[in-house]
Amino acid sequence: MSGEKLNNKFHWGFALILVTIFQVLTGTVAITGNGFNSKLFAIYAGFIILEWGYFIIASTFFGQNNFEIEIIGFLFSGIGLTNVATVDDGYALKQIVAIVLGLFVFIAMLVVLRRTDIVMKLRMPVAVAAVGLLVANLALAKYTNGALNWITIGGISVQPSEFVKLAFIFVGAASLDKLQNARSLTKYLIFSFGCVGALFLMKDFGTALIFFFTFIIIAFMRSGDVRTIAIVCVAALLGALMIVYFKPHVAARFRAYRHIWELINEEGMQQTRTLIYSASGGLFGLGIGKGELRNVVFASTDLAFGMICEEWGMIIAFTIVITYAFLLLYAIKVARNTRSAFYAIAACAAAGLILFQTSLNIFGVTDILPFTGVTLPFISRGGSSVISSWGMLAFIKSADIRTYPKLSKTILPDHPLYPDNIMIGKRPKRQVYIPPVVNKPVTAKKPATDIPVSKKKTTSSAKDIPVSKKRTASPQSSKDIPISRRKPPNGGTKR
Amino acid sequence: MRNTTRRAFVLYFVIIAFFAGLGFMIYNFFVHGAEWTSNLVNQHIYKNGEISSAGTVFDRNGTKLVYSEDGVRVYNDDKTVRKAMLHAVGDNSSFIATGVQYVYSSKLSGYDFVNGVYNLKKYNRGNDINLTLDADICKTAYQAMDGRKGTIAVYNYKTGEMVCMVSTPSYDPQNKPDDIDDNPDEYEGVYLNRFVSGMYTPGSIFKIVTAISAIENIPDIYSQTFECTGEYETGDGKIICNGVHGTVDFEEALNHSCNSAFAQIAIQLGQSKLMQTAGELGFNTKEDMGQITVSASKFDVSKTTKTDLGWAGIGQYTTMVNPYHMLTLMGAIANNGVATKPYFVENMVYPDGKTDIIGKTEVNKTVNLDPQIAAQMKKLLRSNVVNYYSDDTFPGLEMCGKTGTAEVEGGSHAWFVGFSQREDTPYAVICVVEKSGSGLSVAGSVVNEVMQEVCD
Repeated sequence: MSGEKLNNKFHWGFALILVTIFQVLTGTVAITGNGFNSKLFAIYAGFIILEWGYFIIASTFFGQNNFEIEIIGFLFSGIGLTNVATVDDGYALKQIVAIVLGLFVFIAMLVVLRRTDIVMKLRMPVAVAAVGLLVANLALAKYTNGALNWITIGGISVQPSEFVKLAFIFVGAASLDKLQNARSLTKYLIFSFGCVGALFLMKDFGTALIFFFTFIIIAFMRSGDVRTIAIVCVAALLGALMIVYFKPHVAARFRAYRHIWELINEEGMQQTRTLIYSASGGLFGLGIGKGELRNVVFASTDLAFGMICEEWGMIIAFTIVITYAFLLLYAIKVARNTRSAFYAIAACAAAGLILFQTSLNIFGVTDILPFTGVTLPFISRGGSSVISSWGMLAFIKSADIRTYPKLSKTILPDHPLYPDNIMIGKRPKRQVYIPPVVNKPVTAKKPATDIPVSKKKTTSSAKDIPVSKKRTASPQSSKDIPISRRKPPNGGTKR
Repeated sequence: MRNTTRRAFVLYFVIIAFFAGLGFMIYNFFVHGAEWTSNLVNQHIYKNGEISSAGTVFDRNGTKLVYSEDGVRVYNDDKTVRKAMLHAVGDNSSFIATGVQYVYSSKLSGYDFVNGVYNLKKYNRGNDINLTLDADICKTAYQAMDGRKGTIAVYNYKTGEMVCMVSTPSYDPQNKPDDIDDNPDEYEGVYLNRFVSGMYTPGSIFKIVTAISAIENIPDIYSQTFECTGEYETGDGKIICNGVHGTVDFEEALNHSCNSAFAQIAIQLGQSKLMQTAGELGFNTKEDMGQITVSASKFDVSKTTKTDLGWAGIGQYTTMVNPYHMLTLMGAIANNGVATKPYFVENMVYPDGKTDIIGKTEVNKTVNLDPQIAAQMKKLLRSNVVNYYSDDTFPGLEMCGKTGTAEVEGGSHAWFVGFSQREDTPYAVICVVEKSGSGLSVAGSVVNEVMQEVCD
């Protein structure tokens, strides 16, 4: 058992070593690109200490064994750090501060998300704060690059909509009524409409689209009500058409779409340069810092993908963007075994949001979709974006059953997020079926933490039972069993 | 709960759509990468809109026509060579859209999908390009044009290799004059390579087409005679001749380039037969030279009066010919009906010495000429030189040819098309000198000067 445990640890340790080697190699280029830069050296040293410190502390003191999500987070953050560091070491300092804050938000959110009772209490304050933030944004912001989405507080520019993204998913996933039906959508619909409307007023259409997409995911996963969602989509489409009709200047912002070569020095400037220089880089790239795209305006924010293509090569660039897709695959997979619908919805919405935002960015700069100027999660320069991206990871990680080994204690049977309650009104009888093997692990008396992930996947259902099962002998113990457990072995109860 | 998690499956569609988008993106990079990287705004290759880093262009003898040094394009050190080769090599700013530096810029930059422009950045050189042109001959041709506008081109009608291609007016690409835009007369169409893009009224050289149609369609053409009184009355107008030729037969009519006779032949052939022959010989069909766009010759007599048909038969009316096309037609006559395509870009050499063939011997399938008619045409064109222009005009070349003096507004274009029938010098030539006088005296002497050097 201990051997397998080590083996399990070895996987992430090994991955972390590889990631660190990659970061040292790419970081060295950034640090020594224009002679040795001690400031950048300190930043990179701090960054590598930060990631190793996190992994060592989390695994040693908090019993965390699974770090897939964090490794991706640190890998992406490191790439973003190097990409901006070669443009300006001042950017690198801001970026590392954002990564530290992002990690802090990530940990804080994991702590909060563990307590579903607190989650339930926080719903309304968070929703109010989110709307308040957007309203404050509208009131305070000045136009920056054609959009109103920045506010400056004490010399620091903040993009409130990035943080509202986190609130949007938090509120959406937590506002679960006991009945999963169309009625429960109404309140969330109003909240969503407020957020998207505020973003439209800010002329931040890209982020508005991201919110709308996230709303669709959450609404569908909550209700499964295709009809309502179809109506919402049609209404949104009509709304968009009306805006285009009555406010032609909105459409004019997208006139370069599919016409970038005719507007090569106007609205098509960023896209044409991205295509030209990405192609110039070939599969292996011209070398970090040796590109020309970096000289184009907003290269490190909007065109980070193109910079990576040109300087790091298409193989690395496409590996990175495919990894975003794997985040969503991971979220779908962990959602299947999660303890409550809250986690499933939050994880899928967060990963879906990241992939959708990635799509808007990379397909926007390559003229496959209209160019909206949204950031590439983790990699684009920008503190708010990096912090928000780390927050998204917290949603995904919270859904992983291995993250909170003792979670079931915090969900009481009368809690709306309690798995059984969620099912009321849908299929009251079927889910109480419990395989007779369920008590087996109790007799086995193995410490739950000893069971490696791999084991859980392959062994029969009985061994899958989480820690809580073994430690609490309370009469409601059978109800404590996580959802995954309830899956009938023969699938006979499948609808 | 199970419902909720099962609904997560819709997200698979998001992932599928994402990968479809990625696939489309990679496809676009694969298909359009070369075109994109050749854009003038690409700072890896161009600086301030001017080509700076790219491979070397050589002529057939290995003379460097242009190369890059320290991010600057350096042209041949002979100013006349630079001017003579301008339209073949191209300029820094891609004004000359048919020049090698523009058309093959992605090859010169060494771009490929796998490496991008990495080799250009690393070795500061791209791929080299070898031309089939001879810089010395082009220089002679440029000097022979003597400041007049027009074009002259020579190619081997057996292999297709061009040895000479000059278009005037020209300028020095190393020190581009500032007054180009201020002198529309002196630099009229200076960015055009007249050989590939020029469209000219053919005048008498079109009689070759009329003659081919006559041989094809009028069985007794050789026994017919034609009256020339200095003009020919068609019934609804009249055709003016360049002289009073009296009674001439078919061969004499071509020798003397008798307008009266050829107007009669054209009217005798009729609109449809003449158009059919022109079509078979590649008129009204676009045929590019490798990646270089070539204009198509135009001939349309479908709605003419008798007089206009007569004028069309002697190369006036609305007929326009392209020098590249007419040279190909000459090649077909010289080469027993096989129209070899002219080309001047030989191959591309990678930094590691590997070569890619770009131009090779190919037959132009849009020019269809019966070998027997080609042989008869060859005899007629030879008789032109022997009986009328005289072999002394082209000493030792055994030239066959046809002159032309095409009347246009403000003057007349001097034409000469022809070829050497010597086995050891299979070269066809075309020359047009704009608004400069009569075909034989002007174009004929330019052709002789160039052909003497080619066949030397």
